[in-house]
Amino acid sequence: MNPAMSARSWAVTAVGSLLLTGASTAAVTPWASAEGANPTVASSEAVATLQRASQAARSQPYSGTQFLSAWTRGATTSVVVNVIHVPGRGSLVQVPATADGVGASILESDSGPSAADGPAGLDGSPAVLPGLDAEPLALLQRNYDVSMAPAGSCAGRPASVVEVRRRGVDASLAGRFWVDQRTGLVLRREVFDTQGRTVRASAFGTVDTDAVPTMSGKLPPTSAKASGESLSAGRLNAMRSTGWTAPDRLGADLELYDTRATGAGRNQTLHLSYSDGLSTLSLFEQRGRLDAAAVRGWRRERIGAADVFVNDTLPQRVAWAGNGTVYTMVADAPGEMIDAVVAALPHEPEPARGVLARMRHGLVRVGSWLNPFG
Amino acid sequence: MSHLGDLAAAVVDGELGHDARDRALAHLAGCLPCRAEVDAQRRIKARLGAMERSDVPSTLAARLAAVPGAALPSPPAVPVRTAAPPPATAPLPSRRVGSIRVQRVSAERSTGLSTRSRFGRTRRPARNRPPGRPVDHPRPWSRTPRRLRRAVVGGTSAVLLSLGVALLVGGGSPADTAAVDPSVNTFVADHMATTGEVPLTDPAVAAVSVSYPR
Repeated sequence: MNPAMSARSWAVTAVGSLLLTGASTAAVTPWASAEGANPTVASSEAVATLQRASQAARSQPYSGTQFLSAWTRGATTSVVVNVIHVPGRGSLVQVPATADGVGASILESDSGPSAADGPAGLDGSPAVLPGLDAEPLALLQRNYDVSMAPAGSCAGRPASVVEVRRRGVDASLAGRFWVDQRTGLVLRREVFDTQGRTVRASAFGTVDTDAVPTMSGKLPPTSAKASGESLSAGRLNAMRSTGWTAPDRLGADLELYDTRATGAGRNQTLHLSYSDGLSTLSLFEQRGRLDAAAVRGWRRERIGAADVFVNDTLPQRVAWAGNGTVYTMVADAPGEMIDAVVAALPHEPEPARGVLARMRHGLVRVGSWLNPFG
Repeated sequence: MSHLGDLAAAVVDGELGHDARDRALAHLAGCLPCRAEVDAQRRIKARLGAMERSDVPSTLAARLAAVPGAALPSPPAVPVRTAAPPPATAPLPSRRVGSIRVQRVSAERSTGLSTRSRFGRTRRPARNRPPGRPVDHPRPWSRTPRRLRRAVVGGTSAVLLSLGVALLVGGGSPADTAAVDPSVNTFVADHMATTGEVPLTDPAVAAVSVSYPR
């Protein structure tokens, strides 16, 4: 090991290891600190708890240290960040430097009123903690059953625990939220796949909600808001008629809830946002063929009949080409959900080179046009 | 008679009986669509007949002649034609076709060798075969049922047309398609902005992430 590794790097490694162990345990056993006192109550209380959390994510100032971990087929990835959130001003995320990499500070400003105007309301300022924005919350209620679980704790604070279960015979556990009983802030979130394995987890190690944090000093450049302009239903349908793929649903539960477009002509990019309330996925489409240099170092994987390139960072990136379009997926979702999305989208190989291959490609295309179920 | 329909092909091939031929010719005199149909079929027949023929090796003909009970004469002086379309003939005027037909039917009547089918068509008598063609060595193409011939021609045309369409819609070469370098970092930032996730958009985040191969 590199002797020059800093103490901070050691800390990151240690936290990651602990999280890995803890999450593996959580995947097979009930949450240890959730024993307890309160019995499971009606789902209406769970919905109210999540709505309170959604409001707190906008209006509650806080600062703390947060970890995020993701378990994919290729790797387990964890990162620790310092987060400061001031309603109306934005969120400052500081990534500690290590011996192997320089740190980073990322500022995401709120679009709501400034701090001088007091706490922000439900006026469009973005949520900071994931998964509980207004639209995903509505999707969550549509796609899952929510219920209260015995109370627990996180970061030394008592928390209400909300369980999210899949609808169906098995009613398997899909996610858990630990909501701070005092402020309503989401302190911890876990997402499980259908096999019961933890695939995503984020939690505060330490959090302070009493002192209003300040963003003094030289702030880093504000990270860009979602680029491009939002598409109306009419414009989206017009793009669909010219060959762009934009299904209203992907896989079993992912619903299209936001569409944007940037550029024009050959440089146009279509950005589709999907969510089932618990997992989120963005799909970017560009006309052309995938430049091999753009995915150098990515893991090559076969998903069904598709050859894709995967980058196991946070969030996970998957890129492939199909039918003259390059698809880039940015996902906070279980692998099985990503597989279903890739299978549902075009993933034919690059345009054929030889006459015979071109002829075969043409026959496949004509066949797809004639297929009433395609 | 409304239109000749399938009989148009029999007119072109000269396979109608006397009475049927007369009625067909009378109809053709006053029906422009049927004349056009017969004319088109004659042109097709002429083009098929103009195709190159393949000759059977003389050794094969000799072996066939040696088969016990075979009625083949000694190997012919001229190459035997097999599996070839009808002989190349220019489109003939209908009147001439009619006269030939009359002679054939007369020969049948005089010899009593008529092979009229139950559909009113007759097979070509041996004595009317072109000179030099062995009598007992019929041409497979001419013995192929007409509907089958048409099906073969039509099927071949359909296959060729389909392959042509497939070639057209099979897409251009990769050179016609621009190489795309996805702006992944921008995409991740956009993803974070629309989902409300913590904005881990900076490449440095990846550098300080702790990854364990699974």
